[in-house]
Amino acid sequence: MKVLLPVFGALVVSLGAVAHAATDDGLSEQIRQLKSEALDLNRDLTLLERELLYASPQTSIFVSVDVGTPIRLVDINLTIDGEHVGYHFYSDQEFEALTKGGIQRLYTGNLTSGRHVLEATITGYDPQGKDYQKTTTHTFTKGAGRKMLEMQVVDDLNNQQHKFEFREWNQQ
Amino acid sequence: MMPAPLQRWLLAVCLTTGVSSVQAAKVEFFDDIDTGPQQLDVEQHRYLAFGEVMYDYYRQANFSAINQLLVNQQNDLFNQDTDYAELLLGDLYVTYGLPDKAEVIFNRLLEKDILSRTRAQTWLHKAALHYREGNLVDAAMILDSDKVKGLEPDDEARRRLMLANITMADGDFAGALDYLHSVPLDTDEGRYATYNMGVALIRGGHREQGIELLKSLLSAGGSSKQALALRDRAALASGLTELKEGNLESARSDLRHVRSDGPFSEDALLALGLANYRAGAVRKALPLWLEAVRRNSSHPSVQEAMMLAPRAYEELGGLPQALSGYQYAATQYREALKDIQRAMENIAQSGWADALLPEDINASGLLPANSDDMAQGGELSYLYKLFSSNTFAQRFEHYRQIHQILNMVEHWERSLPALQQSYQQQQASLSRNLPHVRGDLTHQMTRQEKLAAASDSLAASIPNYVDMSEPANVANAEQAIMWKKVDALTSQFGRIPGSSHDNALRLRRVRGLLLWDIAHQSVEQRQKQEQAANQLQEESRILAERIAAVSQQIRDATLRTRDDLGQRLAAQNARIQRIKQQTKETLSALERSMQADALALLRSNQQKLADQLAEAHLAIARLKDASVSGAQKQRKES
Repeated sequence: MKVLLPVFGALVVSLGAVAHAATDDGLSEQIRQLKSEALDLNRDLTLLERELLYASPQTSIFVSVDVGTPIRLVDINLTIDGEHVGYHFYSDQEFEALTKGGIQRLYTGNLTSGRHVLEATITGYDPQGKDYQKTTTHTFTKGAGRKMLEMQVVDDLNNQQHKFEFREWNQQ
Repeated sequence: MMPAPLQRWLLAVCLTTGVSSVQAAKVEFFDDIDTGPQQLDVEQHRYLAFGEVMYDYYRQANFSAINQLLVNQQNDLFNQDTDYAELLLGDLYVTYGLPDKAEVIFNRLLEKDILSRTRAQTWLHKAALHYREGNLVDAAMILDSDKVKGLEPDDEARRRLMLANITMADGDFAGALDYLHSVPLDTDEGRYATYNMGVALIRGGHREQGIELLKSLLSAGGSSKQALALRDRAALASGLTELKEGNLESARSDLRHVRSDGPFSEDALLALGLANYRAGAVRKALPLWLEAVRRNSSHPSVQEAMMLAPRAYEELGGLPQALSGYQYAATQYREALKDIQRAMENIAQSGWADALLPEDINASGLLPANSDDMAQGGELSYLYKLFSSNTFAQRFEHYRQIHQILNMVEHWERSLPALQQSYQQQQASLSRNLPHVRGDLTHQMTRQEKLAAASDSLAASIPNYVDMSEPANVANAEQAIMWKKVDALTSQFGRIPGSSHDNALRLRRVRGLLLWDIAHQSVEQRQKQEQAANQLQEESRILAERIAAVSQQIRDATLRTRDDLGQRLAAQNARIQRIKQQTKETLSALERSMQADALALLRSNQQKLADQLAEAHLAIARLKDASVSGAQKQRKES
């Protein structure tokens, strides 16, 4: 059975626990340098872009959900003054990110000052997997400063569905 | 990647230090009170900004999470006092392969007077950094000291796992087992550590202990793809060890735990056949090897089985089947050699590494984007082998990240002209419109001030009681018209035709009825008037806000016409081009290095296949010779 011996070599499983630094120091250093420069470039260009696009105080709308909610948020549709401004379909990973306390910026833009009506429609699955849709409206006034609006999609445990709560901030 | 408990803890720290009081108060005590818009203070701003970072972090968009943190640092929202943001940035730097930057942050945190739990957490991060860098002594010194006292249970498990692995690398299996015993098997980390420990014990000569650990995984929980694959792997490793030791029944028992459609099923079929063969049950071994032969012919275990199946036929006296089996094996080996040749040619081509990248730019999975094509070409099984090498996997991870950088740089390269054009259009539009907008605004401000004064005056003039001496003031529109008519008739009565006594009485009755009617709804009417006045004041307030907003916009626009944003944007072009060039060079260097690894592996496989092909041909020749000499013998005898 000499022919059988090599089989063990092919089947041996590896012990891959500790990662060691690459030995090719030149390339590793080049990679580190490049990553660092890329992060700086991205940061600076993001800042420049924001400076250009949002010279005037912008309005931002954020979405958050109850941490550990048993209700699954599927998608969200957003209109401001009847005009569609945002839609997002949540992947499992994104929804999990929200349930762990992440906050998603759904909209940033230059709104005119004055009164505006925000309408949000969400689709969700209740804990039994049944789908439902809910719509809510919220009126807010945009003044001279930045406006931040957090839409909290919270559990309505009586109905086993979501409900909305809004928080608003003005920044001068 | 930071474990989930640490991530939750980070968020908790942020919330407790920042906004938890605000949140808790609202949710628990003032849920029904509409507090309306609030002024955005720095902690609330941090709450939103850090929430955004966490969203990116948890959806594994690490590059974006780092960018958010850096942008907020630049805006002074996060600084050296926001320990939670610092700690997260440090962890992200570690994950992103920038250990020097991470160490600076960890050292800075440790020099500060921070919460003991944050301190312990930071030390754990620092130890993890040493661990990743291969500085096991430094890592062990931290992990085994009081510096990491007071960790949360999940972090404590992480500490023990690292210590177990370090101790194991030193060959101190007893010490490693001590650390490992308290690590729960219901986590991926715990299961992997147990598996590694089991294999290391076996390799270190502690067979029984190693097998015991591996077998403990067979009944461990976890239903994820990863957990099931690890269970298969543990069953296979345990079964092979038992097989080597000659414990054939135990080997068979363990190998039967490997799923028939899992990633280790070919290896298990081969090994299970061997266990049967060694036990003398050749008839039982044969169908297992025949099943293996039907699988992917580029798999090394399948290639082994191709020679074993005809060997089993041979032993059972089925010489025609054996001959046919060897011939089939020879054909498949030749095909596999061609596949390897094709794979080598493919790998040697420029751009090969791009094909390995996952479709989702953020995904860190290692399955190539075009895995279906590669599976058909037989290339995939070699790649699995490659990716199981830590060095190759690390290089590929760098390649993926640098490729992500290239995408980012190309995005900015495309966006920059649009940004510059947008800036020029903005400038032109502002220069054209600003002068008359300024003039108009002054006029509108005067109008708004007058309106505000008038609405205030109106609101103030409404008494908070109903005075029927002026009925028109509390009448509705219809009543007011009627009252005006009745009043006019009364004042002109006697001078107009029909001013008789009867009509005077009739007019008085009408006046009285109308007064009663007005008085009857006067309270309601007054409320409406007050509401209207309030509404007017509210509208006036909003108009004032709009005037203020436009004034602010004019100031911002004026600054925009004088700023140097255009020059700063233009200056980025050279920077983008330089980094793009560096990115391409680095990608090429990484690809060359990955190609060399892949080609070395394929050459080794090629050599092995060539040996197997030679062996198959020898077996074919041997059987043919036996057949010829058998026939000659038969003829002689007849």
